[in-house]
Amino acid sequence: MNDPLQPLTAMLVSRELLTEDTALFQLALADSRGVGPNGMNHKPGQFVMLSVLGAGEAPFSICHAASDVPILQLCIRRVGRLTERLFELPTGSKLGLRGPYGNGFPLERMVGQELLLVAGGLGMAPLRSVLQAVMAQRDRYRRVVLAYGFRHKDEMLFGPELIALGETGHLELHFAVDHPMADQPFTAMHGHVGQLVESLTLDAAETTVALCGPPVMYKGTAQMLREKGVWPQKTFMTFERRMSCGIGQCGHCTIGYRYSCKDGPVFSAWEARGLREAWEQEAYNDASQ
Amino acid sequence: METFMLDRQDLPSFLAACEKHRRVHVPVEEAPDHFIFKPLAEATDQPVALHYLRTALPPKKYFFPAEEVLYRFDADGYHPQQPDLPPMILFGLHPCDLHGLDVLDHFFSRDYPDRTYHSRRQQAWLIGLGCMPDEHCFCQSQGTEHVDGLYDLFLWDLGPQFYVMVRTEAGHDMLHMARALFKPVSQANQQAYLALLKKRRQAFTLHMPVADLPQVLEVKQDCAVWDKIGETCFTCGACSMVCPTCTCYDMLDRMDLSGQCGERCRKWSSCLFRDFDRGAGDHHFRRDRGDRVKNRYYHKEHGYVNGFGKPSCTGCGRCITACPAGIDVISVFTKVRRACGGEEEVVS
Repeated sequence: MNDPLQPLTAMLVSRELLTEDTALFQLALADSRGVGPNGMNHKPGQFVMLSVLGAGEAPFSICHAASDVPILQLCIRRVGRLTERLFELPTGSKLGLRGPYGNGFPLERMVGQELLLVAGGLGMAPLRSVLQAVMAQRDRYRRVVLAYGFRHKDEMLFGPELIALGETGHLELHFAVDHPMADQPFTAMHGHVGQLVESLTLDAAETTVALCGPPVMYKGTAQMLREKGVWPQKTFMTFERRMSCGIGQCGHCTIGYRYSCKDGPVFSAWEARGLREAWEQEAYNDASQ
Repeated sequence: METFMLDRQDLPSFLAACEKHRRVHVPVEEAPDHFIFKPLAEATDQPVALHYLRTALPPKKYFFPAEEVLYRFDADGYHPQQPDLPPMILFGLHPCDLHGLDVLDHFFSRDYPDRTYHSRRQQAWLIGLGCMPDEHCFCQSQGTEHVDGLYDLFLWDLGPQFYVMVRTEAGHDMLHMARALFKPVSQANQQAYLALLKKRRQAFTLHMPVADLPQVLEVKQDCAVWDKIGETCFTCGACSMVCPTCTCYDMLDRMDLSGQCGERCRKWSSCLFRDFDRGAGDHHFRRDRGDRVKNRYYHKEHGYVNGFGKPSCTGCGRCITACPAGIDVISVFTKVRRACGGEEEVVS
């Protein structure tokens, strides 16, 4: 019986610091079985379970679109024991890897639409996979807009890459920063990404949205998009939890009867109406602290 | 389905005959009113507890143990460990526990079949045992009062004899381990069996209407009752540990002293635990105790029904007897239901 909980062996190919505490990790599957996340076989928005010897296992979203190169890219922030270890490992180290899991963003349903990608902070990581997939078939979509909010210029992820894309004219870029700085190499609105989205002029009925960021930004942004006329069926958000299994067993990611790992992590705002604690409760909790 | 009669005094001979072929596990009274499933071979001076109602832990402990090593790991990777459950016969399962195993079988089969669960489960033949409800049983309400097809052999206790139902080939095999002990069924035996079922049906004192619970719960998502219950609940997770259908788990990596290798374990967890729903950035999706309590009850009677078509509560009553705060599922749902009628129930 194929065992979905068994990690395959992968190798840390490179680690490139993007900010002070966030890096782009490149991994290659070293396992001869050939099944598993290899950088070529996933959908944007899917995630993998990554194991570090002795430190445990955690889910990370894949931050690039499937390509011809068998290299997997993960954008990881140093926040806990496992990620701490990841930042210390020398290249060439062995890791455990399984997946890809989750449903991913429904790119087919976005064809012919205007696309609005809304990223908050580290939420840029999974949305980069959507952006790359869209850019690879740019003519299938109409206007493509990225609204990206982060704290200050040093926390911007993939900055040069995004700005270069913006210069090609294929991508419309809008940034929002909490703390503006005199020397930031881009123009940005002072405020949070929700305010940024509110200021955009959209062809609402023809727009599909992909949203990823800290849970606190979901409720307000989704509601505001709805008020702007974007259909909740076309507003997609990722609900990421600290899963132990990734396959709908361990229960850590359950929201009602839905498993964020298996039925998600991408849900439309329409589907997510019934998953209130995934976003509404969280917004309430944060506001009440 | 074939039926037979087995004399009460012949039960030990039957189990002894079975033990020659497979390890037999039976319910015994380990301490007064404390029942557990245990290997027959280790219960030499303990009689089989035919009168037991609920064991401390449900039979899930055999197939989804409280802690198990899934892999050994070292620099070469993760090496699957084989569960060591030999072929066995689990004797004395009440209908609620057979339904509990049915839920587990389904849960661990869908999408990604679970390797160790199925490896253990396939080793087990199940013998059911009829029971008479006490004041904590509400399987009748949950629709798990009777079982069809979830057992290999089933015994109804008619006093001097058991009414034996053979359901599967494994049941047939067990019958033939001591074929001479099994007698034909007379019309009087059938009458006695039906009379027992009637008596049992009437013996239930605990009732809970469940058919419309998913609808009630859907409407009452903001019910203040949950916060009130949250004030009494210790979130100790005892209800989850004794529940025949709770399946939540944590993964734990344990390094050997060498620091070079170790083992990955799977341990029971509970959605009531403080850290269970912790997400990235230390976000808690269910920060308050009331939210976590609510989540557990919603999962059993609302979420599971939506996702799997039936509740995942079997009405065994273990959570009622295990709760140190005296919270019981029936009064919880009664309170929610009353609140639905406009009268907010105050939890004393």
